[in-house]
Amino acid sequence: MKIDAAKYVDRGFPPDEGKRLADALMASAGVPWDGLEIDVTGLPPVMLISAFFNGFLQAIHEKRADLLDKARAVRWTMQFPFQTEHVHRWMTNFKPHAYA
Amino acid sequence: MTCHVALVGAGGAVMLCDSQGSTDVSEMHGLQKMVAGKDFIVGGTGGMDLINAVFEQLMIDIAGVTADNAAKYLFDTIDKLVWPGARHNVEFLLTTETAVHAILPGTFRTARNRGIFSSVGSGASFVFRAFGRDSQLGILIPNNTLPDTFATAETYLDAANESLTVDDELTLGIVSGGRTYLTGDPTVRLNFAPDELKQNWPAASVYFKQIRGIAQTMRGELRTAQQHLSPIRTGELGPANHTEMDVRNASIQALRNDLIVAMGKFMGWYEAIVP
Repeated sequence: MKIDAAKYVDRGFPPDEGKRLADALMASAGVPWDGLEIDVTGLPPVMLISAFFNGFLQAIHEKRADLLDKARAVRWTMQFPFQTEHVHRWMTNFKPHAYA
Repeated sequence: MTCHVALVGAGGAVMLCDSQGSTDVSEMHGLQKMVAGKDFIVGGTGGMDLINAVFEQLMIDIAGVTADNAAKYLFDTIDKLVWPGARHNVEFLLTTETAVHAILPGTFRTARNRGIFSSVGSGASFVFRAFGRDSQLGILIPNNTLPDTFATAETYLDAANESLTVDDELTLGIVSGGRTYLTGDPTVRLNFAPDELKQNWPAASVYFKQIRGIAQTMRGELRTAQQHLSPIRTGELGPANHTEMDVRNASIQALRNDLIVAMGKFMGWYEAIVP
């Protein structure tokens, strides 16, 4: 199952939009987190920055920490090869923020 | 209507323009409004009939037109083709490797030297506002390398997207190393270019989409960094903001390296197909 991120993402700040995507997927019962694929080719490159993906993982860490490893392993369908390389690094290097 | 942005830097000059043509009742997209000469780029704004007439003549004479005589050539061609009363309906931005000139035939008989940065067209007011605002805020205008110059010009052209008469389908011209390069979105219909480029426009567009995608991603990172700098306005910048800006900085460094590689690949490919 491939999720079309454009259905969930608006035009706000990338960290907020990454969180919005994560919240939408966590709220949906039918999302197969094992082997999840998310298509972001419909989103503008200006949105797909490190803060978007960090926002995505941070939201999952805060609400469903048990899903974090599966979320890190999401396969993202990107428009450009350079995006794939960067996203892989961001997902690997993500460290959750502590929150009070 | 149009927006052209030209910026000269240490590694050469870039010019970007949109592809929209507008009337009172309709709009068209995919228009080519920029031509690459031997060592100059010229972009037109105003009546498309007038721009096309000048470009058609320029393509016929292209072998004899260089950065040194391009401005005079354009004025002479406009004199030859366009009635005096209609000349105010067309303007050109001429970019060489070292300077940007405005050709305003409805007002001036000679080119106006605009230094290293200029913009013409209906979107130009948006571009100048963004440029002026950055200058006021002390934000640097990077142009020390050709990729930096491109990323900067792309940022200012993006500011013109607010205009209803400017679209997001772009053409990119580069003057560097004594020659030119032309690429852009696949939707731009290429009429004024060498056959080698027309035949390979889809491939040239793939390079452009990648190059622009990197610049857009850099812009996104910069926007988020500025968000994290903003607490300084109330003296509340904290360690978390510093950390976030370090992350954004590292990302921009990596993307900048990608941009250097991508532009180098494009230019190498282009030199092979357009001698």
